[in-house]
Amino acid sequence: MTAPAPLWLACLGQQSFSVRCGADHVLIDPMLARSFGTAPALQFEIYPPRDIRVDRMPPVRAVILTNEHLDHFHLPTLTRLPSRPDIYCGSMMPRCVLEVLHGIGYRVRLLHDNEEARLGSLRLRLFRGGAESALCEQRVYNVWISRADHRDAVVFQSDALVASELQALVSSGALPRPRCVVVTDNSQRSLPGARSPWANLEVPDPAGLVAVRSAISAAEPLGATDIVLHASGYTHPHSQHGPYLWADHRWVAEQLAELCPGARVHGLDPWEAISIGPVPPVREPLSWVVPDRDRHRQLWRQHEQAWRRGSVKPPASRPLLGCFVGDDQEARARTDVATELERMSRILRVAPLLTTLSSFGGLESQREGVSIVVRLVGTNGRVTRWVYERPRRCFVERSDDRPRAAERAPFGLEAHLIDFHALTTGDLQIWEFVTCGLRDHWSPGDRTDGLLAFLFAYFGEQMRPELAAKTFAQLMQPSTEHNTGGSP
Amino acid sequence: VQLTYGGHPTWFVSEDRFRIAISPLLRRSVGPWTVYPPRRPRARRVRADAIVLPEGTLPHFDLASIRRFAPSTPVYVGPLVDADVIAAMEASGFTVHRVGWAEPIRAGTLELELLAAIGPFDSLGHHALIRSRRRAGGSALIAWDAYAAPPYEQRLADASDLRLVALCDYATLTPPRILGSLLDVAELAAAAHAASRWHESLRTLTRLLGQVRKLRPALLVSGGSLMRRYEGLARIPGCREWLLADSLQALAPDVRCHLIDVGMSATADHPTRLARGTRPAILGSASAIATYRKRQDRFLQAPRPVKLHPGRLARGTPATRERVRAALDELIGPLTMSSVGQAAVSSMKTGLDGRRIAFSLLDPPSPSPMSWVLDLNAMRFVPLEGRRHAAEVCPYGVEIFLGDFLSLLDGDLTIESLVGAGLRAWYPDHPSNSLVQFLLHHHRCRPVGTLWS
Repeated sequence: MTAPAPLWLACLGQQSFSVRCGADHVLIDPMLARSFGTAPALQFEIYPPRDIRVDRMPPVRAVILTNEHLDHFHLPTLTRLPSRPDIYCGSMMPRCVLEVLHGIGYRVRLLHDNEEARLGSLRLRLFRGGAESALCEQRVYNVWISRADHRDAVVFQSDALVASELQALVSSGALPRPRCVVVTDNSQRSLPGARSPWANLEVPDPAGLVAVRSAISAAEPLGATDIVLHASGYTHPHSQHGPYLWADHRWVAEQLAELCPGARVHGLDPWEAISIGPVPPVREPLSWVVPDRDRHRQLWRQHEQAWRRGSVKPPASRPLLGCFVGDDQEARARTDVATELERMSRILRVAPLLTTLSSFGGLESQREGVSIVVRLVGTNGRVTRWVYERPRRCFVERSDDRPRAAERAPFGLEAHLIDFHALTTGDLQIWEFVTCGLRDHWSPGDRTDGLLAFLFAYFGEQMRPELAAKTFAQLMQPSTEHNTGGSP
Repeated sequence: VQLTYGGHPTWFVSEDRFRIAISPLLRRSVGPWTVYPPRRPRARRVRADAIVLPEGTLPHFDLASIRRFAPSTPVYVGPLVDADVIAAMEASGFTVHRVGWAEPIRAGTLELELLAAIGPFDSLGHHALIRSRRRAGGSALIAWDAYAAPPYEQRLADASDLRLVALCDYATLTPPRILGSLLDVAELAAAAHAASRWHESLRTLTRLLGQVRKLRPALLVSGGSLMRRYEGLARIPGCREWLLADSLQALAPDVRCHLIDVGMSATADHPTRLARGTRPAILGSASAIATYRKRQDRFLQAPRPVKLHPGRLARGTPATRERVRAALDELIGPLTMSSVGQAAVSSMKTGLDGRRIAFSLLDPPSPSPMSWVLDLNAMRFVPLEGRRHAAEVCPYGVEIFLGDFLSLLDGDLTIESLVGAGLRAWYPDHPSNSLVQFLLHHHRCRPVGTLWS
């Protein structure tokens, strides 16, 4: 009796994967370009840098999308795939995403939670991520891929927690334990001085790898023998230290070996695949993924030098998208922002952000019940403050020039007016705004239910399909062709 | 310091000739509700040196009750009370002061602080900490179904002279069988949720007990609820305060637990000696309370199905439909971003589309309701076709008479007047995450013109 063909897993960069079994090849959240981002001037370079030779890539039987966020749903890649394989996604995918996929010739198959799809010799199931996932990740799906007999399964956590239904199926024996779990490391740890969107996630002991270890803990209930780390796999466009602290997953995996005695931890480069099966995994190079070693060396040198210094010089605060042309344009932007904040205030009245315990923070001294401050910096550094007054349930523009340090509201953000305005018009995507456009923000409690999570959901594709449509159109314009990278 | 119970959320705090009225709800009925326990003010005009409103919604805020006080009485409101509520009182001639958490309110020799607290299902709540400025010792706490929020836990622990803790406003401690009989769509689940609501309140009170137990105060347990006007349920209170008192006593045998009736008083000096206050502002009737309790017992022995009636009839004309549709469209954003919208995404009861939340509008004599369903993927309400009930399609929903819904839009009815009296809801999880809770939150943001006056 011949052994079945091995199952091969590859991490192609950031949150993009390939799974192959014989002739059956599927891509998960494919991002085959050198970088991603809506604006040419604001590109997030994939780390480690590589070129993906789409022409040499094995034919793709299916594409699986776990969610529609910017770092998972890469339209330029999908536009340029040589064929139009079926796309599989969970039933909660926003309509605007389905429409754009239909528009470029894809057939989309929606799956119920735990519904099985046959992809040749592979079986696919999707599970909406754990209910305790961050507010903005509530629509993200875990992926289960296995052989036809459900053996040698690989589970992709994506950005959500592992679904309780999946855990229940595994612990009850209805599904065998997966062989491998691919866990998301969203630690994205920067050096002091660098701008970080996740200020609340500062890990006290940078050597402790606490965040990565906790990511692995989330996958432990599934009892897999192999764990593959991924994510933190891009370089911030304004980075002064190259890749993030733990972006070298090979090294991280070695450090974690002692902390995870029950499982083997792997970190893969994009140009290699790992076998998943009953025998210990082996690695094999991928002929269609070419490392850019020069760029890799350059980035790593920058990384090591910065880390040796221990900090970076805070970058100059410049708007992401240029400057206003004339006072009229700035005045119009202010009016637009006021309209947007009025719209937002209707949501804030009932949003958990202000109806949960976190709103106790800072209220002790708030006679006026100011809950949120939006500080927007205009031309010549003039700051306009909009405050959300909870008793009036609306944003009010304040003319006083209170400095940031004197703000007492529990939630707040500071950004350039032009960037915030671009966010409200769809010229800047929320992921880009949070990652690069925030000058400052503060929020009590956990990042999963704080101000940024609220903004991700509020400006996200589900809530604002009109903004998403504009972003999608921008991504498909020929001017962003560099975005697709790779070789034809 | 003397505490006198005024029924449901209402307390009078007095020392010598000074008196503070807290959350005064003095009417026998409010909109479609009857207030339990039954009581009446001694006189048409009520005197106080200050009025304190921790919250700006029913049962804490009732404009008609406020108007029974002289307009010269200063009103102090908590930090989260709506600006519209303040404006309504000012229009009636009152001077209103907003106070922050823990900011002292002084009236004669009395001093009171409002503290943020946490109620069942982690909802926002509040406490009032009261002390005498004239002499040291003998402070009292009023807790509206909530335990101290983290910033104020220590403050409570430091109140070494705390002698009295008054518990009230757990009106939703509804016996499971009553609630279960209301929600015929998911009766069993609803009964379980009612039980979990009881459990949540007990949990809340147990935590509060843990926070104050070392100080050995006396507990005053009051019973208060708004009685619903269902056919078959009218004038049956939704709380069983004597059961709560027994439960708490069993949980903390070292703390003295007392039931307190309307018009009865306790003092910090003699916390265990309940007495009818001298010239209390409000009078209760022990015999009337006994009658209500008997009525509740009888109902619980043989619960009957209840029937809802619309406040007014409306015809489902195309124009009406359009109006309803426009009103629902305004809800899409808030609903999607609310905790219900987030939970609806997680719900497993799902089709291959995003239809998760339903509004069913009954239009008698038509047997089938008009139903609109929010598709969370497409972000729009779509009509529900076919003969299936919306509850078979969506995990979250509400059923309401079309006429009542239009009255809501016109401002003739408030959502409080319908919740528990004129609508049904279904939800897969606990009631704090239901469309009822969403509608309460959302419609409380409407202008004060829709409040009863």
